[in-house]
Amino acid sequence: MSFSVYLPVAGCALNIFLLLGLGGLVGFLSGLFGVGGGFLLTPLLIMIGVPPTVAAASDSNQIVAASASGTYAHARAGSVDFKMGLLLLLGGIAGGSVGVVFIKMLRALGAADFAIKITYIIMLGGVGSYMFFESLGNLRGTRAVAAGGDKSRPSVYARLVEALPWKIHFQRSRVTLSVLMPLLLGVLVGILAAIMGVGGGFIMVPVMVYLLRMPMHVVVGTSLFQILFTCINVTVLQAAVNHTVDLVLALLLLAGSVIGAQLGAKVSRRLKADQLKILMAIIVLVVMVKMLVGLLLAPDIMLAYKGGH
Amino acid sequence: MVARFVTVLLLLAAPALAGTGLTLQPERVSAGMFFAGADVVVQARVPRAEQLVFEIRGQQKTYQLKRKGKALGLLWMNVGDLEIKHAPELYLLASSVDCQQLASREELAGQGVGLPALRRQLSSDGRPLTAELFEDFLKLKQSEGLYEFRSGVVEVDGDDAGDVVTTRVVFHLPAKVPLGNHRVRVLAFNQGRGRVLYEKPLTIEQVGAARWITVVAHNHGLLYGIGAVIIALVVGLLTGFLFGLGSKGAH
Repeated sequence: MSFSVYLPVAGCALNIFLLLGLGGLVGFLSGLFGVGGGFLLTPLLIMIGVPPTVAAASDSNQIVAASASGTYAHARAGSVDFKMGLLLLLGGIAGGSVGVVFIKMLRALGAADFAIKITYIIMLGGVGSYMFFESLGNLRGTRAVAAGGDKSRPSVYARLVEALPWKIHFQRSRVTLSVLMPLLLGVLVGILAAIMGVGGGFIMVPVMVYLLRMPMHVVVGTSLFQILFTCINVTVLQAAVNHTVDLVLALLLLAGSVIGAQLGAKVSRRLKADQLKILMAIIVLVVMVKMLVGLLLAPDIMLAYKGGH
Repeated sequence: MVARFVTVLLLLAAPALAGTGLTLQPERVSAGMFFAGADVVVQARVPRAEQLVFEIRGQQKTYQLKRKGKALGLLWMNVGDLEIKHAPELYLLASSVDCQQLASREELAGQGVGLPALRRQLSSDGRPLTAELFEDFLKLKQSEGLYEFRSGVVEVDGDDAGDVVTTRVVFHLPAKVPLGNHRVRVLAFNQGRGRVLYEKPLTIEQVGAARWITVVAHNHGLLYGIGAVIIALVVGLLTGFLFGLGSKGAH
């Protein structure tokens, strides 16, 4: 018995346990760090033979399950800031729309692929390195210069944040900020996510930690809450417009990922914030290095089918 | 004796005989939920001492592709889009000897057989493919198991002693095999000239739940998407609830 299952929309057969395992791994990371995992799972699915367009769309569907499961677990533990999440989501939707137009313009200029790859490398490299060294410094007790800098002389960023109007208190996150902050940062992440073709969780998490100054455990739950809605939107659109959601693939992935997400959420609550950050930084950097190596080595096949990220 | 003589005469006469003396096992390949590819046995009665080509060819399709190249002289990435037209979705060829030994390139191309015919058939931007682009396209399709060129694989039934023998080739269809009607042909080559002996369709179709899912996904995309989201939400929340019950009191 081969334990293969036929994926009718993808038009290929894959091992059931491989798909359950991949789903479990990505679900675990999702629950642990509050990322959707699309930036990791979609390339893995393409690597094992799923057509790029089907991989991206079906991945969104499984993220709905994993993020619903993770959001539920975090909400029970009181670590979801719904108010902040909604504002980021609104900004993200607006930014996503701008990003889609922007990438269409780049495609017309023939520079889209270059822009996407370079954005990936810069974002992953920058975010990963900053998180890694900052967390490493904190864990060693030699606290690096805080993002806010010298307390007696607030940084330009701190003064800008302070000057913004319409401040409200976010109880769960224990911060008082202008409504504009999550909205504008949501727009920024939405633009980047649309360019890169991912949900944006791995950009949103550092934004929440470093720019919105939210506690790490609230960041994870709130990020999952926001990803849930983003991926519901993407799944329905992909199914309706491109017919590329493979339900069998998504079901197998999500069967693994919902369990993985629960385990991830449990481990997440047992780890210190800096331990979580350094683990996520390592994963982000590994993905960045893998992508960079892929760009530097000559490919075996010089043609690829269009579609996907 | 008369019957055998008539058979040989019929086999020598082109055009192709639709099905007579050619059997496919199976003639219809069903792709259900546990389809992982299939073997198709093509069996043909042919005149002894002729070289043979068996092929399964899919429908022609236009492929939208990305070409990789170096950007900034350093990074390998997609550097442009291109379209390849008139490419068969599937092309599996098995011959008794290497195609180059069967006939000239012109004859092979004229019969629509092998790489020379494929090269002549494909086009990009209204022009024939360059040698480099043709090689790259072959590599892409071969990596998926959708193009295959094998020689020395035609089995001859050892029990046949007459002028007509039973020959057989086993083709493996990968799980990625395109759905629809494909064409199976058997050609004979003698002294550099080829002719089509047989031609028969081979159908590959989805069945059962696999077919139902594909039909709903394509014909009722919005409902399918909403259904997929509802399933994902229910599974996600249910798992969250069940795990929550297990950890009650832990927090």
